[in-house]
Amino acid sequence: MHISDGVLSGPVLAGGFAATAVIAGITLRKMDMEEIPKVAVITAVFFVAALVRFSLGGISLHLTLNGLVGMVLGVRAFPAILVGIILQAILFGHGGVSVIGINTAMLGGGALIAFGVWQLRHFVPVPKREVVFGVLAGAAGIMSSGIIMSLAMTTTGKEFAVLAKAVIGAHLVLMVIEGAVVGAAAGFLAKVKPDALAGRRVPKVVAAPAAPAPSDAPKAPMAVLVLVAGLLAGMLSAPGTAQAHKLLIDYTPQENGLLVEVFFPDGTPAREVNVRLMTETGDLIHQATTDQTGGYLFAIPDKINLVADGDDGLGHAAEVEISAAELAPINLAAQTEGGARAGASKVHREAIPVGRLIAGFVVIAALAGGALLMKKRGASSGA
Amino acid sequence: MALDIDRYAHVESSVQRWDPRFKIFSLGILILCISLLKTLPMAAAALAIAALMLVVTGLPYHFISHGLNWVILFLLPFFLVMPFTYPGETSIHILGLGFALEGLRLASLIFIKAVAIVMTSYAIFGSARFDVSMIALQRLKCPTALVQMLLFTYRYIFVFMEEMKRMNTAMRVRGFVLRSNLYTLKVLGNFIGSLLVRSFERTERVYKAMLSKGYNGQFHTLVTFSAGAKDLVKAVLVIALAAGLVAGDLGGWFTQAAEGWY
Repeated sequence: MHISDGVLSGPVLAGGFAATAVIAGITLRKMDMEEIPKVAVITAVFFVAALVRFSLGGISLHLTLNGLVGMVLGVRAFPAILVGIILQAILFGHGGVSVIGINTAMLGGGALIAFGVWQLRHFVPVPKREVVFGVLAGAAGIMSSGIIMSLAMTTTGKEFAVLAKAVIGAHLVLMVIEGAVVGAAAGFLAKVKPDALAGRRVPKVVAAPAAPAPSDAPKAPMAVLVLVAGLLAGMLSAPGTAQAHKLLIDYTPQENGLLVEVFFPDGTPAREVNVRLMTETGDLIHQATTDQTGGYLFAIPDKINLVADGDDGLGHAAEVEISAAELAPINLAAQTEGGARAGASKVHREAIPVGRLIAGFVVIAALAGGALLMKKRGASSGA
Repeated sequence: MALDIDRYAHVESSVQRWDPRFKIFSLGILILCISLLKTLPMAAAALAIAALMLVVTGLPYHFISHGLNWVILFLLPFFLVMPFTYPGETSIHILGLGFALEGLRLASLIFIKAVAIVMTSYAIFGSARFDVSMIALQRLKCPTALVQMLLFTYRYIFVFMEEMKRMNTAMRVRGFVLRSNLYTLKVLGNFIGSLLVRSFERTERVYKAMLSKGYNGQFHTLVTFSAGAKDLVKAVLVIALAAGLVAGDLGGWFTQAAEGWY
């Protein structure tokens, strides 16, 4: 959905340009030189995908996909949408040069909100969450754009109250369509190319925490500072070595061997990652890859102090020390390797960060409240 | 969909010969001023100026009418809705609904302003090659990163349109038909997903190819600008016209817009 030229008042147009300039300025500064061509190519894909016209129930539609842009590009979605809007205004010949600001604020703002909703998936362990949160983020992206659009119209004048309500109504329908398409696309990408989706949790490198810092230092000292501070805070606040990192490891001594499990902070098992069992001094005892449940059952040579580590091959690793005393339940003679487990494995899940969850809901509630208030105001002035 | 806005950039006229930096700057101000107008006579004057400018550019009518038809389609709802929803008393009644002349006036104002702005943008971007316009934007202190993204995106839009056509053919060969159901939406989602996957692979290749040609964040171009006195005169003329429009609007030479809607 777009606002065309000539509709909105000067102050609203100026506000749109100001908001767009500020947000684009901040997000453009975060982009590296090498990201420019990459983000541009993906912008072209979205531009083209939004050209697809299809008919639903007799009405010709095209997708907006600003939610998906947010999910793929993160905060870089804003400059990407700015580029898309400028190109639309220039190339289509439908006009829109005077409303580049407000349209970008509207769709780009929606994309940023969608990215926020998309990020919430880390805290809610539901099955097929890429699809579920894809639907939610796609819907949130288009809906918040609709809300910003109708706000812009009602701010221009109370004559637009009825049209603004119609805009909200239309976006409720678009929300369902966009949600379905974006959800399907997110599910597809999660299966086929998960690193295409933004906001994956990339664990910090454990083995060489100092290495990336110096090379980045001249380019982005602030970012490195924040990274180092974050790392330090994480290390100080977490008691165990393994707990501080995004790939976590745990062990359970069982009768038929030592079960080592690798998993992500939300409890999903890390499948097919390398696990190693070593002695205290670092001599390798055995190396294997985890199965579908993220575990591997090691046979141990003797009840000595051990070290187990997991490594996904992408630089994310976790390790844990196991003292000899804890190995008591293991029956050395009855050991099997890699096979069935004697007992049920533990349920792994970090405590849900309640504070962030509540903050997320407050944002959503505020948005919904704003929309309701606006609708109500529109209704009373229209009557 | 035709995206080559610069199809007729080769036509010779004094607008085409105008230095793009001066052209974009002064016509941009004109667009800004048009969007601020509140009175119908001044909006009509703006429309006349924009139309005159288009005549000077020598762009063929069918080229412009394509875009204008869309604008009219977008704005038609305003004519149908505004007169009936304009708040305040209504003197005329049509089919039992209050018909406010003020609403009709507002819809007309929106319509005239929109058409004038679209015409002016044709005069800006239809009269120079796209890349020349973008380089001019950069010279006007538009952020380099943004201008580079605009140029790259523009270049790859056409690549992906071809890609999409191929994928669409492949889908139809397998018997896919767009219908009004959830399945269609799911397929559409997967379609966009696979377009993205292909593009991700392409971004890597594009970036490596650019690096190998010496890309270091700068965009080099052979486009050069040279401005003379004529360019300046044209710019001053357009800005004076734009200022005149706003002055006429604010100075109350004509009936001011009814209070409230601005």
